[in-house]
Parts: sequence; C-alpha cells; structure tokens
Amino acid sequence: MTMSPLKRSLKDFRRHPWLHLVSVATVTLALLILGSFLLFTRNIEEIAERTSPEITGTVYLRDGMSEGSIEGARARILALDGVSAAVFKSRAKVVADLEGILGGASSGSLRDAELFPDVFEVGLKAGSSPIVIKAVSDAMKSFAEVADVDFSDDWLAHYRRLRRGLEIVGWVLLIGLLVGCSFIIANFMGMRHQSRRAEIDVVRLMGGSNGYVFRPFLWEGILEGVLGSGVALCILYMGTSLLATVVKVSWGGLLGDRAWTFLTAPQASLLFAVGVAMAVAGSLTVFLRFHSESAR
Amino acid sequence: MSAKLVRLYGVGKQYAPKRFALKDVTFDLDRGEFAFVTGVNGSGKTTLLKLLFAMERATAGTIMVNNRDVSTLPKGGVPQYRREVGYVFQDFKLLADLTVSENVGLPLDVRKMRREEIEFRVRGVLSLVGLAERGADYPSALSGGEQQRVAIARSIVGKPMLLLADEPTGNLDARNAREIMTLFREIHEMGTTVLIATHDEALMEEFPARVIELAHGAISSDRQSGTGGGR
Repeated sequence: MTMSPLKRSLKDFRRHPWLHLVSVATVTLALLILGSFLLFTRNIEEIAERTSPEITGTVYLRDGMSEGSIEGARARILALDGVSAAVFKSRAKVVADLEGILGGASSGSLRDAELFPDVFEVGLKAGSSPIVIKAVSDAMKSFAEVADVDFSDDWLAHYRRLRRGLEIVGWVLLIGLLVGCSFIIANFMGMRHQSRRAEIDVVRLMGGSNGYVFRPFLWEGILEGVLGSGVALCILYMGTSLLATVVKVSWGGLLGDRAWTFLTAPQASLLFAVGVAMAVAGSLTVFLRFHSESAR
Repeated sequence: MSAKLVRLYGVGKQYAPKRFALKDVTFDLDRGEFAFVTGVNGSGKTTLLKLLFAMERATAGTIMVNNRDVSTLPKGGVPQYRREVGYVFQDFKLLADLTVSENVGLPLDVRKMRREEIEFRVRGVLSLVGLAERGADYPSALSGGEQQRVAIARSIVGKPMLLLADEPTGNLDARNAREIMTLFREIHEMGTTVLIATHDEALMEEFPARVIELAHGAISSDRQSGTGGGR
C-alpha cells in the first residue's frame, strides 16, 4: 500500500518505457564514446611503451683525448642517472659507418677530412622525460673531455607537445559530450516531469515535501545510470575481446599476446560512476527546474 | 486552546490592479463547527478555500488557523501545514495509476508513517465511506460518487483538524450528493471542523448549518440555513 520512491520509479518505468529507454541509451552512448577513448588511449600508450625505441644521443669528444681520459669519461657518463649505455666510436669508425651509408662514393675525401671527432653513442632508459634528457645532457657537457652533446630532443619535445595537445583536445571533446548527454537526459526527464505534473501537484497538495517529490526522480536517475553504464561496459568488453583477437592474429608476433586489453578495474569503476553521475545530474536538473517552478 | 480554529481578518486577494477575488473578508470558525461558503460563480468561494489551504497567498489581512498565521507561512512550512488540513476537490484529483488504497494512503505515506499504521488507517476510513471492499480497485473502475468518497477518505485519513471541500457535490447527481453530504456530517460529528464551498441551495437547506455568503469577493451575509432535517 505504501509507495516507496523506488516503487514509484519502477511504476514510471512501466508507464513510460520509451522515454526511459532513450535516457538509458543516451548514457550508454556517452559511455561507449568515453570508454572507447579510454581503451584506445590505454592500449596505444601500452603499445607505444612496449615498442618505443631507446632514446639515444651523441656525445662529441674533444680532439687528442688519451685512452685513459676516454675510459674515465665513459665511466662518468654511465654513472649518470638515466643512462643505460655508452658506446665509444672512434673517428675512423664514424667515417667507416658514414661510408657504409653513402656507399663509398666519397670515401677518400671523408677519410682525409678532419670533420669528425671521436664520439660516444649514449642510450637513455626508455620513457625518459625531457627533464631527465636535459639533466643528463647538461651533466655531460660539463665534462672536460666533452665538446658537445646532441640528443636530437627537439623532435621529441615536438612529439610530446603534440601528444599533450591531442590529449587536451580529446578531454575537452569528452567533457563537452558528457555535458551534452546530461543535457539530453535532463530534457527527457523534463518531459517525464511534465507528464507527471498532475501527480506531483496532488502529492504536494497532500503535504509532500520537495524531497518526497524528488526521490523517485533520483531513483530513476540511478536506475538509468546503472542500466546505461552496465550495457556500455558489456559492449565495450565484447568489443575489446573481439579487437584483441584481431590484433593478436594480425600483429601478435610484433606486439605480444596481450596486445589489446580491457580497462583496469579502477578505470571500469570510474566509467560506471560517470554514467550514474550523468544520469543523476539529469535528475538533479529536473529537480532544480521543479524547484524554481514551485518557487514562482 | 482557543475556541476559534479559523480566524480571518480583513483578508483580501488581488490578482491584478482593480481585480479583486476577495475583499476585506472577516469571519471566525469555532472548533468543531460545520459551515458552508456559498455564492455565485466567481464570488470568491474557491479563492477563500485556496487561501485557507495555503495554495495561494492573501494580498491583505491575516488568516489564522489553529493559532498559526497562514498568510505569512514560509514556503518550507506549507507541506507540514497541509498535513493538518484536509481538502476535497471538486474534480477528486485521484491518481489514476494508484489503487484506491494507495490513493487514500498517500497523505500518510508523505508523512513516512509505518506501513502497518497506514494500512490500518486506510481500512478504517474506507469502511467509513462505504468502500471497504474496493481498496484494490483503480479509480477508473469507480463511479463518480465512489470516486468522491475516495477523495473524502483521503482527505480525512490524516485526521485533519480542519476539512475544506470545494464543490464536493458539483459533479454528482442528487442522490450521490446527499450521500456525500451525509458523510461530511458524520465526519463533523467525529469532531472535525468542516467548511464546504457550494452553491447548491437545496443541499444547504437539507443540511442546516452556518452559511457564509460571498458576493463580488466580500461577505454579503452570515446566516443559518433552513431547519429541514437532512438526516
């Protein structure tokens, strides 16, 4: 006989199935886009991490260094934080490598020229940040044996700036999308609110507080959020499984067995929470609309 | 406790400049009194009841109900106030997708009363209005007279100190109207103060009571209706 808010919500689900279905579909769609973005970012990051080449640079040594000085410099370079390798290349080896690249076309002039110094090819640990690269570079430049250091970090900085920019654009688009979806949900809830205007009026005339009126809307938001998020996560999981199979078959040798993975538990939970929050935000909008109407 | 349950002093309601729905209305209702408000259409009967039920705010004067100033009631205090006053609407205002029992139990549900208590009280009032067997039915399965009985049951289930009824017999035939009026008498005899807006002269003659007549928003007479027995 009593009408709990949940019971009133469920009753409305039966009364207006299409309106609720559209709200659920909106949440699902929003989460599919958000989830795909997260999945793509996560997997691309992992693949990039797994397949990224070592960051290398060239350390040019001053002329006339003794073998002892060169060994001392090598030891100090290897002792620097972030350095993984330091391979010495004599001037002759540098010329020979270059000749190899040029196919011996100008071997005579190259060999006689004093263009090339002895060098170290220095490798940094994978994923070293620009700050680490700069620190290592500055440290090596301060060595007496070192004439110059080149890590070709300009392109790396460009690459990182571009990636950061794309991330920001992605997030802005996502936030816009989520706000838009909340707006759509709020409008559908507003339509239901209008369709239940008479009921709300009667409840208020019976002494129902705003809270009593709002609670069913809140429950509807939660139910729609849970349903929409659940469906979206299921679709994302199935899509990921399918894609993982394709990636494994096509590029398994290059990328390994776990080339394409699903979201982590915290990411999936966050996605779920975002879906519910979006639907509840829609309910809240209706409540605020209702509240401002009743205040007139 | 004051003997007066309702006190109106200089009450006015103005919707637009020079458009008065009520003008300088002053009267009292004793606790346990039964009275009619009458007048032609547009005389201000419904507006008066709406002011008493805090559906609208007076633009002049003071309305005291049970020593509470309704004319200055804060918005947050309206739901609580309405739980102490019953209101019967001419168009019943029953919710179509709730059963008779759920409709009647609604005022108790909003008070977060225990389920057993609600069921007990709903059974009681449905027996009183002669609909004990119709609790599980939906309003659409009831006749106009039965629907009005449900509306009355809903208005008294919360044991209000004051019961207001706006043309409760307006949509009913003479026989049903008489039965509904008898029901109001029974409710009144249980101690509830009842104020009914009606323009049905015959019913007022049949059920003798105080009659406050309104004309153009002002009280034109305050008298006792005929002595013809209504019961």
